[in-house]
Amino acid sequence: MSETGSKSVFLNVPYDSAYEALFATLVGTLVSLGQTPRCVLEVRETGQGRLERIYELLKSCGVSIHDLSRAGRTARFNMPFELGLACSFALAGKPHEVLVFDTIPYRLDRTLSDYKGRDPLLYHGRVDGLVDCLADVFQTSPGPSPDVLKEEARIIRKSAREIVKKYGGSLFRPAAFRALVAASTRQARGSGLIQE
Amino acid sequence: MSKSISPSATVGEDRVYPLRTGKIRLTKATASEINRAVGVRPSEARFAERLIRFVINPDADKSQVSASPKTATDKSAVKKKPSPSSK
Repeated sequence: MSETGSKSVFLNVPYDSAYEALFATLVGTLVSLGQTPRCVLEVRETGQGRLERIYELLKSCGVSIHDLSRAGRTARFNMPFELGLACSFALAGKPHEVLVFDTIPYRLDRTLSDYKGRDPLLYHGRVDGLVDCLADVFQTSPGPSPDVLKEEARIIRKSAREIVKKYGGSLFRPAAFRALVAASTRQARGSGLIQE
Repeated sequence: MSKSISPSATVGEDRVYPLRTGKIRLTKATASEINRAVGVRPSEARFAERLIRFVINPDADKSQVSASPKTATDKSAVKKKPSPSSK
């Protein structure tokens, strides 16, 4: 059992519309577990020092989640780059846990052979599978059951659809992300999962 | 607490190896701490409140949800009564 002491989880995930339901599930479940979801949507896209700001944000989190399920389908290298940054913390002995998610067994052995020996958490592309993975890895006291987490995530996904309508058709905007976190904290507080 | 997991546990037909260190014990943050860390503004918090009320109870007036916190008070967001001549 490890304990990072941090209450923040860095999310390194694909920002495409097909991932919105999974993103809402991740954010909603993490908030239900009393964790602050952090991601690069909080960091300005332009300007000097972006890399440093991403580094500082990642460093402030005790855990990072890297969903490599889009491996081989993107020309952007930001995600594996951020995984490398996170691994550097862990390898340097910093209190940082790296979690890699994927949907296909053994694929990572081919796409990221340097990471061999640490199998990813497989969620099979399902929102409930994602919640199961988080419930398997994280332990809170007292902790909600996976069924409770799934119901909370379902409500947050529904909220996310309304947020997408309001915030320019995408969940992956800074304001939409904040609205999603606000809705998640509101829901988790109402369900008695976290304190005011 | 969620169920314990061993290195040979499975999800579906696939084995799951959570981490070298096994489970991660979390310390819970409060709602205020989470919102503050992410920079949630008061208007976004108010929007979230109406949003969750709507999601829980879809029979609530949807115009209260779809309108932004600012426009919710605009005259344009108020539902117009049909004029007698339009009947």
